[in-house]
Amino acid sequence: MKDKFSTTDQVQLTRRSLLQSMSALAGTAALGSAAAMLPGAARAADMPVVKAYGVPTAALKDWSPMEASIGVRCELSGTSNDVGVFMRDIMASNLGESTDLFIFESGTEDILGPRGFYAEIETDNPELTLWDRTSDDWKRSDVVTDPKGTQWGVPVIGNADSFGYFPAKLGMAPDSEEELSWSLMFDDENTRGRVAFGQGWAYSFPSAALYLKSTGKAEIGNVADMTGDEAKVVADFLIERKKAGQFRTLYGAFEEQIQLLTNEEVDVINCWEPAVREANLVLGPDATRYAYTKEGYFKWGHGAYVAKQAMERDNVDAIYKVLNYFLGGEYRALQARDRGYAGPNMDLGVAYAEENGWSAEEVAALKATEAKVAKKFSKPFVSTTTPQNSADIEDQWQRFLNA
Amino acid sequence: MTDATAAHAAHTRREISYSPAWKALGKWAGYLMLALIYFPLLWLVLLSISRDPLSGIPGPFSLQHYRALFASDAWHMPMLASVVIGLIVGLISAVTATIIGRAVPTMKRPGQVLLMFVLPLFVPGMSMGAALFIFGRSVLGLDLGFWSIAVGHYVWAFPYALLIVLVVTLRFDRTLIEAGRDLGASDWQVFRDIEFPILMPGIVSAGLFGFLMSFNEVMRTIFLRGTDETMPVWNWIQAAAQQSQVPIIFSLSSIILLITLPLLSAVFWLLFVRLNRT
Amino acid sequence: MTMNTEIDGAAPAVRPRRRPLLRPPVAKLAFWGISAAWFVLVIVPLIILFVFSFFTTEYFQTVYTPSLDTWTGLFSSGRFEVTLRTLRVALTVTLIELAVGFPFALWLAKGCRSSLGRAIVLALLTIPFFLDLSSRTIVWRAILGQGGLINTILLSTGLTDQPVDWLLYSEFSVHFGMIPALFPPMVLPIYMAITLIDDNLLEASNDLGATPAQTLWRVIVPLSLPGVVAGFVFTLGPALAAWVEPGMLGGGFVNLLSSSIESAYTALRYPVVAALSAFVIGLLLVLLGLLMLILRRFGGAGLTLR
Repeated sequence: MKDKFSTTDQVQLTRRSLLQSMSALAGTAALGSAAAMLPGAARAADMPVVKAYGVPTAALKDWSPMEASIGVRCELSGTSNDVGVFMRDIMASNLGESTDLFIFESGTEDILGPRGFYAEIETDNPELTLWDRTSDDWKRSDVVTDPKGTQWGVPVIGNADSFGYFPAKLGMAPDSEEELSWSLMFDDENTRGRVAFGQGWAYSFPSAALYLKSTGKAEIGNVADMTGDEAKVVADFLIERKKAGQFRTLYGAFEEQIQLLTNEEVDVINCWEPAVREANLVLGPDATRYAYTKEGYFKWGHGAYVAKQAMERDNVDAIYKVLNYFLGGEYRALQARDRGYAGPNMDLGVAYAEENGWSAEEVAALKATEAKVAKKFSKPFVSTTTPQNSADIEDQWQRFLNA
Repeated sequence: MTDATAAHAAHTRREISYSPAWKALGKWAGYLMLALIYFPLLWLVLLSISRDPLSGIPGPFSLQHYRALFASDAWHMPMLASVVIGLIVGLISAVTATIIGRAVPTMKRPGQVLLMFVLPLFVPGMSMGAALFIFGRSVLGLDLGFWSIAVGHYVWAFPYALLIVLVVTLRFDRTLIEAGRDLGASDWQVFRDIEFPILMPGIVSAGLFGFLMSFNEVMRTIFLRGTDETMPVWNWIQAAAQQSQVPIIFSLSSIILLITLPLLSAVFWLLFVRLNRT
Repeated sequence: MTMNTEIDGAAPAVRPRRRPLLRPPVAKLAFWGISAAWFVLVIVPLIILFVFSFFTTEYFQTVYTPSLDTWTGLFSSGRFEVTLRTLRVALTVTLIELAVGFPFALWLAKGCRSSLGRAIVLALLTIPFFLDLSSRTIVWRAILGQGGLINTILLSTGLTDQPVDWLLYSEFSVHFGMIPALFPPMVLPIYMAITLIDDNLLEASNDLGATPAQTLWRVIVPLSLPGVVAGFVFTLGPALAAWVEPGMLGGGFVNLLSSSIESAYTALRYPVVAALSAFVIGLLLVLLGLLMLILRRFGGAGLTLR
């Protein structure tokens, strides 16, 4: 999915502002005789640095907890979630010469790993202490391995995407955890003309394919990686539904998701989970819900991949400390609290929150995230940003848009 | 009889033609457009002081997004980069457009040259970005960064600058130059004392347009930035962060609006005062 | 004359030598230098891009084997329709801008008496360039939507009993969003061209008994043609590349060129990007050629380009 029309934004402390605030702290500390602060501030200046490039979803709002925990500073230069731009930057711009870590949605490792841009993960690296306790569901998933099973990355965050809906308008109990069918998106008379469908082929095409496949309306091998002919069948179905007036709009950006929900312009939308949270901030708790589905989910994950050239530089230890941090409880708890996203070792996140005196509500929310993900991840399918037949699939999607 | 009707009809036509309604129509249609431009902007200002701007409905009001904006310095560098690149692009556009714009009217067949210079206007931003990227990075193997952003912006801004200068130079009376020479002025004197004052509004506008075209450019920049960030690119990246959306961009736009309105009014007013004197 | 007499006798002897030495080289060298740089920066990359349209993409990698597959695919998938639709929308918007922009520019240049008022209007026309287009456009969604401002008013006054849904996510809303955004680039150059027309000419025309309509058609329009052409081009160019408005207000039902190119780029399909661009540039050149012919008929070649 594309987020191209950026208008909104998060407040992110940069390294510089962080240093500024830390030196300011150091200043006050020196004046105020809290001398214990000084060594910490001095250390911050000469911490080893890991340079990362990728989608800022994986970034913490503020990296200082990580710096305090592992003594490594992370400088992330951002990119949007356009896989074309991301792969171009790595393949054509030799980013590996200046960047240590790449963070992106699943799929790039299938191409950039074998072509020599990513280094294989050393699972026995002494800094990667949490590797063994990480479940195979995460660490061996398609997100971080290629079809041959080579380990190219470390899982960072992930979620199982479905659709947001208004229980009241669909006649459901607001707290229902009933599994709904994707037919609400595509095929339901009650929702006709009240559906928003994502405009990007990589995000929206597979969900439609999943619906057709699991209801037996079409034969499709791998919904995440269709052949051109399979994509044609799905496109034909979508064109038929489009002409029947199923879709109120094909949206383009994250802000649109939030706006469509908060303005109640649509009843159902295949969106990101944070959009539902944002909408509920305005409309009240549980006004909108993020669906549990019968057929499955668009399961995605972000992986962290090490640049091939980085393995010859002298900060490999620091890189692996950061990778290990992504598997740890502090990162897990902070990501779940800020975005509602899950990841490997959720139990460590819960433990971290309990040890650090988070409120009962926050701990409960973490546990709920853990349970939700466990329930959802048992169903198909794992998405990829790089289907083998991307050219044919993209052509078919254009046919749908032009019809 | 027929003559009389014809004369009468002609007379009515004349009266319609003299009607002050035409002037009013032109004026008010334009004002309507300005209203359509500024209504969303004012709405935006209202949203920027609302607690939940993304709902699109103003209120309840709060200054929290402004506080967030000033608490963060993440946007300072991209903003600075955009302003500096814009100034450079504006300046170079104005100078080069003046050189080309003065040469074109003296040419025998200016069509092809002109076509070459305005071609980027018709090339979609992403195509031009992709073309420059392939050329600079894949063919020449250069490291992209602020310099290539500036090049991409220049290629986009120059046709505007050139056409604006041409509007002035095409109507410039070249006999003035001959007159100046006959009076014994050096070429530099002719340019400085005769041509430049007449071309000045065009040259200044060309520079201004160059700056403006660069300031908000995003599609070419995405291809040419390396890993450097300008203001629009920063916005573009942040949208992918999937985080609680604090629309400090709304606040930023509001501030820019409130700063530029009086500033630009003053600039244009000064230009007019000068123009009226000469 | 006065200058000559003021300067002493030696100067005229120097000047004839200085002129050929200084004037042609500096101006000419600069001209050819810029032209050469421009050729390298613009024409060469575009040629390379065009060459790419004869390659194909497989699994995010360009296959450098010459083929026509990309071009045939453009037509078999119906993708070329994007370019036609884009041209139609862009031309409609441009003509509307011209219809509103020309009279307004005329009023602003010749009808508006207060120089402060003029300065403010010009500033108002320039400021939108500074501001993020997407944050301006997103606002319309809250106003045109089914639960938006306009529909709320229509429903509460009883003018309609159903929300009007073509206000948003339709070709109407795309045009509606683009028109205010592209108004300034149409008005500004026409305004400039008209201010350059000497007031004495207009007075002379009036004194000779021409009606305002005759003055408009026979004096103002021909003399402002360079500005009109510039405004036309300034508006058409960005209209063709429109990306924010169709994306935000079109609801995915108005698939225009930039979105289609963007979609192709997510699969790193440089050849498709190249072919689409080449196709639309080709169509435009044909169009421009026709425009030039018409202008030549209408105003005489001397008016547009000497």
